[in-house]
Amino acid sequence: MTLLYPETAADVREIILAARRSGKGIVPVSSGPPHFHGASVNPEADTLDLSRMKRVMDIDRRSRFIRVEPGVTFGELLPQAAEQGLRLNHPFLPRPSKSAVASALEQEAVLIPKYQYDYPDPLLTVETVFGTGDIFRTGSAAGPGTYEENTSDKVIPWGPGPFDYYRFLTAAQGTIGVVTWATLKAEIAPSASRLFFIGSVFPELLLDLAGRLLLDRVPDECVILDRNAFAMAFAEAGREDEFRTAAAPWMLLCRVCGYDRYPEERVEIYSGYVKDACAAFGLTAETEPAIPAAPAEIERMLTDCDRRETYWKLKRGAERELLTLVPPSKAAGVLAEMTNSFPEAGFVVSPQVQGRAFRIECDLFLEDTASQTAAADEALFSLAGRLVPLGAYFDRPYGRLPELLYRDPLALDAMKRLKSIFDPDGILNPGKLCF
Amino acid sequence: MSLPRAVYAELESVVGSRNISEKEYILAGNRAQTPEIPFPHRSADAIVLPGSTEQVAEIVRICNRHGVRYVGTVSGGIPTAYATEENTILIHFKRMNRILEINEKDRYAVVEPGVRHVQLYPEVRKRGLSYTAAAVGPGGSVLVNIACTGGDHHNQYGSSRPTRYLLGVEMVTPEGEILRTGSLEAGAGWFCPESAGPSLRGVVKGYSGNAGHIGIVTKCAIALDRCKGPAETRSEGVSPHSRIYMDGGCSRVYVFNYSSIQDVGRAMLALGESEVGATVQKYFYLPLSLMMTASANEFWEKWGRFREAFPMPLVVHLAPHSVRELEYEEKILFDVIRETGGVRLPRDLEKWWEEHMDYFMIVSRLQSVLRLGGSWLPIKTGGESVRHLCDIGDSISGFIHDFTDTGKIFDAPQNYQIIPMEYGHFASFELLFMWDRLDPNSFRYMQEFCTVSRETDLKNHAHSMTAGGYGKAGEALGRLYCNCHLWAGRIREAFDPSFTMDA
Amino acid sequence: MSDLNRFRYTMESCNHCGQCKWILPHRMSGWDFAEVCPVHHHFGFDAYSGQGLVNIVREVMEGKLERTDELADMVHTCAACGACDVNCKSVRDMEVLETIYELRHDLAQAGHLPDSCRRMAENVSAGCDPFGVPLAERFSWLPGDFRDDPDSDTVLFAGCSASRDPGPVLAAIRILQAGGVPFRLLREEERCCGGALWRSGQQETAGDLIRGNAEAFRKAGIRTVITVCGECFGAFRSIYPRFVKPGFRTVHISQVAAGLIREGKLAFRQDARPLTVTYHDPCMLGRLSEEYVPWEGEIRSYGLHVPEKHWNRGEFGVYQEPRDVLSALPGITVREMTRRVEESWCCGYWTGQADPECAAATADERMREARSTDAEAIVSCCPFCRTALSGAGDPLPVVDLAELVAGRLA
Repeated sequence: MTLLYPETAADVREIILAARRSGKGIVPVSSGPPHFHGASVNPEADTLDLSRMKRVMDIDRRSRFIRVEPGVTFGELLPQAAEQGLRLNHPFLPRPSKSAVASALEQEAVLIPKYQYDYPDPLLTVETVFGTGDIFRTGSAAGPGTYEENTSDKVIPWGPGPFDYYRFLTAAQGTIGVVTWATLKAEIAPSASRLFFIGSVFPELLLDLAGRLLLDRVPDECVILDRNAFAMAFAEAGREDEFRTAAAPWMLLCRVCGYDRYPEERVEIYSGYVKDACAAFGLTAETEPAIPAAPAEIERMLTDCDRRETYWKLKRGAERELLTLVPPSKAAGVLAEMTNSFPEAGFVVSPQVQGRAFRIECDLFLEDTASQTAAADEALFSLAGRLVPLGAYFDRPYGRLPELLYRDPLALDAMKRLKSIFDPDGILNPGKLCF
Repeated sequence: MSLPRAVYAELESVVGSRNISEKEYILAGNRAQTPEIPFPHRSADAIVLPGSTEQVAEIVRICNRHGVRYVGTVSGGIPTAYATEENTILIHFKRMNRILEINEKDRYAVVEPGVRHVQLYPEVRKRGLSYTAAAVGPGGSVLVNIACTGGDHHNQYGSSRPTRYLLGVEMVTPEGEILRTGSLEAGAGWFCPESAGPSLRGVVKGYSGNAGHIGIVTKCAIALDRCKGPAETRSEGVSPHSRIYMDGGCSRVYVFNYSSIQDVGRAMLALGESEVGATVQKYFYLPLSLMMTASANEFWEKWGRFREAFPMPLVVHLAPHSVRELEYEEKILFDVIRETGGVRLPRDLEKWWEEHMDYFMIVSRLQSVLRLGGSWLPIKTGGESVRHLCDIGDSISGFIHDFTDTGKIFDAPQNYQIIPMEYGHFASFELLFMWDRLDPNSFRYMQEFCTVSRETDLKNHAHSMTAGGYGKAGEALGRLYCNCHLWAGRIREAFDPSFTMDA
Repeated sequence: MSDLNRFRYTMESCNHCGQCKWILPHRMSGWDFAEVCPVHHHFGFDAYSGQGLVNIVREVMEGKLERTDELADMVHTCAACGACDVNCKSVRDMEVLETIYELRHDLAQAGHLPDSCRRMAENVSAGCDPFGVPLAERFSWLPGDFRDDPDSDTVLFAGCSASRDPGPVLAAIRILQAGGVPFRLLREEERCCGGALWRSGQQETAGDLIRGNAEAFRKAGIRTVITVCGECFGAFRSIYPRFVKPGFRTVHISQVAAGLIREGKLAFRQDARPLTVTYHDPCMLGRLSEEYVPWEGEIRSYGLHVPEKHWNRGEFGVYQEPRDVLSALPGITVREMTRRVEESWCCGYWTGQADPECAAATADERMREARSTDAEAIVSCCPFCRTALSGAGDPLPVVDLAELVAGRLA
């Protein structure tokens, strides 16, 4: 296995053309360690490490987008965006070494579902080098003319022409093309905000409440955590039990914001909507919950990546997770099966696409021993099998999940046809997904 | 030319004798010349009315076996919904018209191709929900609109482009197989459009759908939003002077006049940053004049008045959740308008819009833009950032006068539309113009205008539209767009090797 | 002579927008009852719609489509109910129905029309009404002791359907008498109004009847014609001006009754059985009853009509008065159907001239819609509607408005 560090799209093209000649596979990776999902492990192939492609090409306050290369991490990008009065719609407490581009390509759960109109959001346009070696730009970045000539902001995702090429690249785990930059939607950084903690012993109530609030587009950040995840995420090392004891069994964190104009007034009005909705559900929206942390600190962490020395998921040394996507009507049932199976796990439930789906993440916090992680892998795989009939959709089938995922043979064939167009020699991430 | 007897008999055995015809007078119903083009549409050799996805699949397989081309259609309102070559059948979806599900909890509706906006819209509105229906009129097919042809909705500022709401899809491939995409493919229901892996959603619908997507979509789910505006609407009067009133509650309409599109753009972006408003649009006043006109003769007076009164109107509809929020939104609105140099129209003029908000919300009376004879064309129907589209708008006055001042086309420099979406993240553009089809040269003028418009954008490297077409036909533009014509051709070849789909 | 070319502008204007088939948004209520064209609903092909028929006319005019009996049968499955026309005109300046009428005229002149239509003309030539009732028997239903006012300038026009079903005319007589309205009957001078013949394309034969009736009215000094039948009403208003300058005004009995009620001249029993009804707007009383105003001129660029043309868009049909009457009747509750007023679904009677199966399906569809309102009966103002709707499968009682009113007079 060779590690290759391209710095430009031309480098990537040369590497791919060489790989086509040699027939040796390439696995693109963007994020720095620690790696999850085993995405970068393939001893038969060379690793194309994009971490040195670190240009922040554009941060545009007026048209609200950010264009970056894949080596730019959340840890680097979030402060730069903030300097321009912008923020990214990122996942819940990501690791700072995570590539912002990879996160969007993997369709990681976003934390502000009201800004997600379509599943690939915040991904807008990309430049990619297909497995053929051709460099291609999607959406309005395609043209007219070269990248430099094209006077548009390159933000429209659909096309060029009749097909949505950027969709071929999302969740494809690098099997179609190597993305060399991406344009991401950015949002206005709030000037005022209020974080509500809404606790309940019944997660299904919080699921319904989140759906109700998002139907009216009330909250910005919106995520449901069980007390284990809450403690692991927010407690400083060693105080997890204290947090766990103090927290409600389930907690909806819901932040309302005001922007540049009359921000406090918006926060007041939208706080009222949160409280009214809570009252209708028999719940209470608190701003000062009885937890051993300052709410302001929770809010700060919620809107950033996890900059602590040890990533929150790895506090015990290792972590294994299962991610699934469910519609609201299936969320409670799937969550119940997960929590019954793993009462000690942490659960992060992220409403997505304006509340029309939930990403449920089951985190097993483990000691870093081979026996523990292997047992966890097996148990999670078994759980996944039980979740399928309950309506769980494994749209990001990492590891062994493709074995489990029902695939319509016709759809499988269609995917293979696509793959053969863009990567005719099968050199990109061989062995992943169905390829 | 007619189909071979054996082929006709096979098709007839699938749909039944009353759902297939090759009678000339039946074919005549779907081949007449439309006023946008100076030649008739080619006749199909037969028309079939399938009743199910399985029947569609069987029809496509028969076509493949016998080398017969096919094209799907519902309303026939788009120029591509006709045969283009001999030996083609028309698959018409009149009978596939069920709303299969409206799922309030998961906020989606599943429809067959024959369901029209005028059927689905009231059904979802009864449930307090809504969806973005593109500007195709009440009789347009929901499925075609959202899964195939694209288009933009007048009220997409606080939401998004209709195609961004497409979820699970069931389609018949060019080989006659039934393909399901997204979560549907995995047996997990309709809610998610994206496949687990490279998303097949990308081949179902792209920017210019009907010109290229692969297969015939027979069912699709569309995402539903909260219904903005008053919960109850009332209608009064008898057509053509009927009205649907969508005022009341916290719903208000405001119209401002500007002298510069750049200032309009600044206002759009500023409002978007504050996430204020349900509708924000720079509307074109030619359709507006027609919308408020009961006959072509009445049009000219309104056209003159409107051009003078508000050459560049910014329409804003506020529909927040409470009176208090309405006051808050109004405060921001008026600040933004003041800062950007907008002037509010007198109330009587503003009321014209308010009384026609149904037009914008449910795109009723859309076809009134055809009242001047039906020779019309929307161009530059692309999308980009508000900034970029304002620049494109500015460039129009540089070439349009040669056509309008000489009467070659009927339009005006500021008669274009910009509709922001996703609170100003991007926007759609449309330049809608007309020509006099009684003038024998008019079609040539129309083509010249389109050429000049396109060349202006290409010279400015402006993204006013995307490229389309395959292979040679798409080469001229495709090579300026990363050779997308070649990639589109490869996809088409991979999925439709026999090229029997008349796309 | 027929002249398809007169409607070239309409034929060349159609963009296939589909509005001729679907209910206008101000009446929309959901998935069901959203179609307005009965033949398109039944057959499914676009040829069976305003859009398709206009395309057919164009091809006939251009010599691309042959005139045949089969084509005539197809064209006559359309009831010429005018829903397509009203819908189209909500957004366009096109004469869809007039174009269809002209095609029927053209086909009839070429000798192509359904046998049933041909028989109507033959019956007239044989001294009968179009339905085969000898003129001598036209008023055989009139009670022997009936006395009208021979000096009145108002005539109650009985219409052909009275021969089959005199109930509505007898009821109208009771209403007029109760309200103190002087009127007379033309008896042997009355002929078929000619509407059905004209609408079938046999315009020359219809013209003879029309001119005959107009002359009879003139000779009798008639200034006001009261009709009981929607068809007759529509014919007097929308067809007669094509042949004669009517020297009379036409009112429907529902309008007379509404006026009498307003003036307090009709009193009703308070103990009548409560009844929930829905009202069916007859096409020829409603959207097709606007007075025809001839137009000759030039259509210039961008559809400018010079001189300005008067458009009949279905806006001013008789819609409100029947509803006013129903509202005034003690014990009557009205539940509206989705397709009402200018968007009313046709009863399908005239479809039956060419395709009884389509006619039955059209009536069935209307009955299904009526049942959806939970009404116990359908009220209408046209004997043809009553005949068609009564023939629907599992019908609700179909009640004529005049009979309902007369039956509840005090």
